Amino acid sequence: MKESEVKKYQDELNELIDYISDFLNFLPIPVCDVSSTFYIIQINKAFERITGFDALDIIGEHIEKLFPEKEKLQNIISQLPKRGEMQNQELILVKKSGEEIIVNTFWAKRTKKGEIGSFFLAFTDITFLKKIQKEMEEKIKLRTRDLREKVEELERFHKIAVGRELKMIELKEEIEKLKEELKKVQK
Amino acid sequence: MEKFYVTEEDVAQILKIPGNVKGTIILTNLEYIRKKGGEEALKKLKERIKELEIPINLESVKHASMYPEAISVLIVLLIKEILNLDEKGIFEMGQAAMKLSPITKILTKFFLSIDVVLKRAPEYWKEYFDFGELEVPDYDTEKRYAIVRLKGYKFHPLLCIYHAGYFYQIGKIASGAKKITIEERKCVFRGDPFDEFYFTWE
Repeated sequence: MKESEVKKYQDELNELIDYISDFLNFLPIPVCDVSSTFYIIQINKAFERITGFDALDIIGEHIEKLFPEKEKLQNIISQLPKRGEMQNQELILVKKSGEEIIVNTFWAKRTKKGEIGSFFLAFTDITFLKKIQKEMEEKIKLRTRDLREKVEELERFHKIAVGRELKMIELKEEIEKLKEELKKVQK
Repeated sequence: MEKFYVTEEDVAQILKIPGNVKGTIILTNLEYIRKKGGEEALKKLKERIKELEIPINLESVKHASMYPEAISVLIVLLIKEILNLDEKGIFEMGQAAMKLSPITKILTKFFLSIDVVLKRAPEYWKEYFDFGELEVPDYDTEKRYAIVRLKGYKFHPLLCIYHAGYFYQIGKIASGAKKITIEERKCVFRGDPFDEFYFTWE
């Protein structure tokens, strides 16, 4: 190959690398590339921002360093090669600081000549949403309990009110009977 | 530890050695010094490059373009000098070269399995360097060992440690093993005809 051609390919490759790097770093969603053995091989800036890990800390580490729920992770690892794609997999992620957050993960397989090349992983932090959801569930639980108590109270009241009504009817009938008997006696 | 210092003689001697490498190696080493020592360390590196009259403009280095390996080696040595790195630090810088390079993930057409990595290691070397050869004369994925030979590369003994770190990092990801060892059994600076690394994984 001529030197000018080599230079042209190198320039094109440089542009491509710059484009990929810029695009990855622009993405507000944490994205990473994971090897077929589930070791992290590439991360973007959003990944660094959210997890607190930079490339030196985390590249070359097994994915289990991020996700401590072994059973759930194992489930993804065993199914992903066959399924090719897995979405909305909720996992706990441990940040560099040790803080735990809840993330919704998305996984996709990349194949090369029939073999697994690597996996893409993207995730969104849903800790706040989960907190709101939990608070809402708590509120609904409390409201349901309040409502149940009110219904029970109403039922009790209804029982008492209906019982009183029946008693009144009974008493009225009794009065009527007594009136009849009084009339008879007066005659 | 005795203070390591790159001299004008080192520069003159190393710059005589021919051979080119992709700029990505230089860029990842710059990123390494920035991460470890901050902008101040990077500034110091630029000053030393100017002082020693090393012919490179760091601002214009591109990942896929070729530059003299001698310059890349001198940058590694200057980083050792500025960050006061010991051998462990040099090994870590070698590991970091793999971690920080965006091109590695594009050009390294593997991470498929250790078997594929070992088979393709010679082509992989050629993706980066226009001289020297990387050979894997013996390996066994069941017994979990490999012998990796680097021929035609003789710049500075510290680069052997740097390469060991680089090979270690790739081996770790490709094998998926928890325990990895790498040992330099032969070295051109000890009179051997090539560098030879013995790599095991469990």
